[in-house]
Amino acid sequence: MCEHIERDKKRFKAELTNLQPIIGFISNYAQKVGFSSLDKIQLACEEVVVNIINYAYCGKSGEVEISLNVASRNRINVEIRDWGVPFNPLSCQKADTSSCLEDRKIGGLGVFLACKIADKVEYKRKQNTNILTLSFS
Amino acid sequence: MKISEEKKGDVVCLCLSERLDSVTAPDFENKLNGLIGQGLKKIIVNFSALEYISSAGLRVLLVATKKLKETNGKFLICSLQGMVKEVFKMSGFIEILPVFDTEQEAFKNV
Repeated sequence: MCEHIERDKKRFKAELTNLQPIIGFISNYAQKVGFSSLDKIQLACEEVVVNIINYAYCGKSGEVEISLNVASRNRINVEIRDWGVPFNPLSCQKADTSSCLEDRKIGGLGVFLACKIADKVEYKRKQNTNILTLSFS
Repeated sequence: MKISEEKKGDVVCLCLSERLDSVTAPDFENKLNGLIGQGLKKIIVNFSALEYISSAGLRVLLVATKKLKETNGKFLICSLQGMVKEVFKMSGFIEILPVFDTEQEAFKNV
């Protein structure tokens, strides 16, 4: 794996039409770093980004900022930041993966999948922004 | 995402390809609602060519399964593979949705 991969950062309008460009930005970086399960990284990031697009700005326009870097030991960090309502996805009720069809709740599934796929998920609130960092090894 | 449709008797068989994500899930939902609205009660969705699925896609499948169940219809899923199969397992959906290995097996159960 190349040791000298630069950090990268980009801001996007938090709109569904930007989902592909956002995921492409992350996926291309992961590919440069040498990751092969790109579809799983794409899925984890899509789930987080779509929650921001749908809920962070309560119908008003807003932005999402993606910061990418490589930590030591083959780990890629994807930092997803928004300026929307305070929201810690990790505090949501875990998705109910064991109940039967009739009882199955739909909410929370996206966050659950992201947390299951990423090796590490961290949330912090800093200066009126939500920052969720997904790490993949 | 591409959806190809084939009618085999009173069963509609849909074949999805490319990606079922937050952008394409509404198209799939509209397609299914259209079929259900026409009174179709037997739908098989073949996943052999689908490369990617996210929770938006799973949601559409869950709603369709429930809708058809309520009207004594059948909504069956077949030929899961690759990342799509992994997501079904991770989410537990492989247990709660009617999933079959092949289209032939799904037809036996429709």
